[in-house]
Amino acid sequence: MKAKVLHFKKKCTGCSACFGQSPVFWKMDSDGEGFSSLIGAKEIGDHWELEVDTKEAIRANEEAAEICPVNIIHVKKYENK
Amino acid sequence: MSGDIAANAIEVINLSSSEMPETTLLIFPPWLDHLSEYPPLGICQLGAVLEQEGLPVSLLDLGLWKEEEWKARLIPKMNEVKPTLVGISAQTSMIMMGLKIAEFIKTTHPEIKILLGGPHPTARPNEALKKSFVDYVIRGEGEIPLLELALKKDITAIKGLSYKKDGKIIHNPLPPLIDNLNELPLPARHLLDLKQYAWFPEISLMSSRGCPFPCYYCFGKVFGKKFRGRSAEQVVKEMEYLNKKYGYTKFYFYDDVFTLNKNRVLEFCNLLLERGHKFEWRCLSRIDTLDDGNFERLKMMRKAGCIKIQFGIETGDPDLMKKIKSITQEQARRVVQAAKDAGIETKCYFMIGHPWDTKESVMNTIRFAKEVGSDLSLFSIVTPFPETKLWEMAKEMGIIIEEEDRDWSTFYVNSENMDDHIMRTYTLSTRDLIRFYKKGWRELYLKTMVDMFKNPAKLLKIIKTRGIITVARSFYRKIIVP
Repeated sequence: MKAKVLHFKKKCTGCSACFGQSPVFWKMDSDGEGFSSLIGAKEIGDHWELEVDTKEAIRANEEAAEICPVNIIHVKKYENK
Repeated sequence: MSGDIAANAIEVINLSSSEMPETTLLIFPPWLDHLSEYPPLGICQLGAVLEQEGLPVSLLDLGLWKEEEWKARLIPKMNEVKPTLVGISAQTSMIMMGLKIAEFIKTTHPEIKILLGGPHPTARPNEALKKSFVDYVIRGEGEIPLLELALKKDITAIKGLSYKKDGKIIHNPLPPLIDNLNELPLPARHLLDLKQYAWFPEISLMSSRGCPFPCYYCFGKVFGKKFRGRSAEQVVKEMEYLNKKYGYTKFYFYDDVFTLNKNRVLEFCNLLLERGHKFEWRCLSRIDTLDDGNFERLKMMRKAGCIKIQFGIETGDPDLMKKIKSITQEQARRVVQAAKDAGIETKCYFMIGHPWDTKESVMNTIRFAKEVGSDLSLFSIVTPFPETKLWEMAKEMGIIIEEEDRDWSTFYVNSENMDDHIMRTYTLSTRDLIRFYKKGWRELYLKTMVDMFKNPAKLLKIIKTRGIITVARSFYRKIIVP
């Protein structure tokens, strides 16, 4: 199982919930407005994207998605090919 | 103990059958002028873990009586239980009493091992262990370390335990957080006499642990940042049990942010509705976790019996709201109004004396507390608790000076000891803060009074619940002699 983690950063309010929940994958920007960043993600169109491929990584990002107050984190799972 | 929790409690030394059972007594200290409304969940949960493993355990909530009665209540319990290990739970405001109890027990029964746990000992383990009458401190979540200690595991291998060896204080690494809270047994409230809490119509429970938000004044290192929720099924089962066994129909969720996980809240509400329960419950929340556009959850929560939500807004100054909570005035008004529209009462908490507070920002807070639209707003003065970001700021500001034997009683402020408060801001003195605090309360109460006379039904409801003397006294104290 793999998953794509999508982060619609433009709507981030900087509350830090994702970072507090899953600090291995999330950080708070030290410059500018202090929004959250998905570590290692690439900017694709209107969002940032990271591929993860372990059960633990998928769960950690699902947990971040479940508690994000502004619903800007999404985890899309797909089977390995 | 069954389940994975027991699996974590490794390398247990088995007691031979000829040995006498050794009882653990867990104590919740008296908390100044505050009488316990609920069985203390911390010691009840710890007691349940020991009980499930077949270890003798007894609980004592000294918060049920006035502070000066502690010795008279403790001695008979000690004689009845004859514990070999005594665990005392303590927040900062009750640590002085916790230490007094520990010293008394050690002086009268030197053979008893004394253990301290909870937020304050987690933050300042050395402070407790420097006392000759304290043997152990548990830092962080206590269930597994306490179980291992009671099972006589080698203390050098108990994660979360701090102890003394050859005059030195040793801190073992912190224990991992309990990942699946569903594995914990239900809190052992039955080890306390629940009739003594019958004066309060509601009982507390926790559906989750951990809070991921970085509030600068919060310690939060006992349950940590990672949010862990119990399943809806298990939470409802606990409510059903409390209802069936003790007749409770009103519940108070002590979770830091009950509404954090959207799906979990919906599942919980759906389950309560599916089973046709008519329970009433209230919870603590954060404004941004409920601001989901259509407020679907608020509507569901009301349908499922939620009658009140308590929000920690903490400041009404727009810049500080952004800085401290990442929220806006508009957002707070919107969510409070949505809760009201859904039929849920709201209570909003505000603090005066953030280090950045100025006269203008405090006035903004007082104004906003009145106009946010909540059924009730409350003020407190910011207090720096050890090992928080605020504590570090307070040290830099010269408010806090590290000292060996601090009197922590000034870290709990009520109307009686307000002049002892230590907080000030970059621009406001302690005296200014107390003046604004009293002004805030006076203005809020005047507004509430006017609102109540406009809505006599609400006034009657409050008088019916709290009694006319209590209501009259609080109005007198807050408006006439604040």
